[in-house]
Amino acid sequence: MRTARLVAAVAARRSGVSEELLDDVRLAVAEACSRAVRRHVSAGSVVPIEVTFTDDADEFTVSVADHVGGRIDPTGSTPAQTGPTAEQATIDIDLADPDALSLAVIAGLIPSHEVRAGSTPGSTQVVMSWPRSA
Amino acid sequence: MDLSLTTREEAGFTVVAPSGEVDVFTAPALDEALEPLTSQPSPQVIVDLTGVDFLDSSGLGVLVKALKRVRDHEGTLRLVVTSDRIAKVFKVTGLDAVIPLHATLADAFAATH
Repeated sequence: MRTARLVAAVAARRSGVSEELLDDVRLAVAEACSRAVRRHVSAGSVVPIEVTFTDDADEFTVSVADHVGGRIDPTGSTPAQTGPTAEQATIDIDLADPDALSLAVIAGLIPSHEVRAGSTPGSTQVVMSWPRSA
Repeated sequence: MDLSLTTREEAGFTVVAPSGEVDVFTAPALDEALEPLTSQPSPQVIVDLTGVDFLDSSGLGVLVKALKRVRDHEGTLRLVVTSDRIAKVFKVTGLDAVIPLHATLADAFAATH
């Protein structure tokens, strides 16, 4: 997990993400990895989690993909699900569940992130982008 | 994978001080430490996160569970958070409004809520 954080920060810095956003990148990528690990552990899966870094003209994008069944049903075309905004991320202590908490952290750091259906039935992919300033 | 924990009694509180990283792999150790402490009648517990350099939702989940137990047993749970990086995790989820964060242990002892 520490390695994922370090690699994400280094990749973001090289991509030109501004220094003040690097902590957010580190935390968001770690959070997405934690979420994926929890999903794999729950499913008893030993398949690796996939973390992908991509640069395009304007953005540095990190995708964290799990490969287990889950709550998002990828029937039909690839549906995208935007996470809760920071305003919506109030916690109901009686109902707090790890996945909701995880997505609340990610949403608080990156309001525009997406949780997409993954490449296999039931799997998910958290896609997060930050602007490149250089 | 590295998290160490100390527990001590001070000023009428049980002070739990984890040190290291609280993530999906290490959070269960914190949960195990807090479970008995927060399940007693009227528990008075402070979790001092000063020595924690990383905390994600796994840690938040453990603290939310601890808070629920504390409330069920009519006790108190306070947190000491000195790092902006750690405080941010509570702020972006709105949990700082649910679990009181204090900048120092002295503040946590002196708090009235």
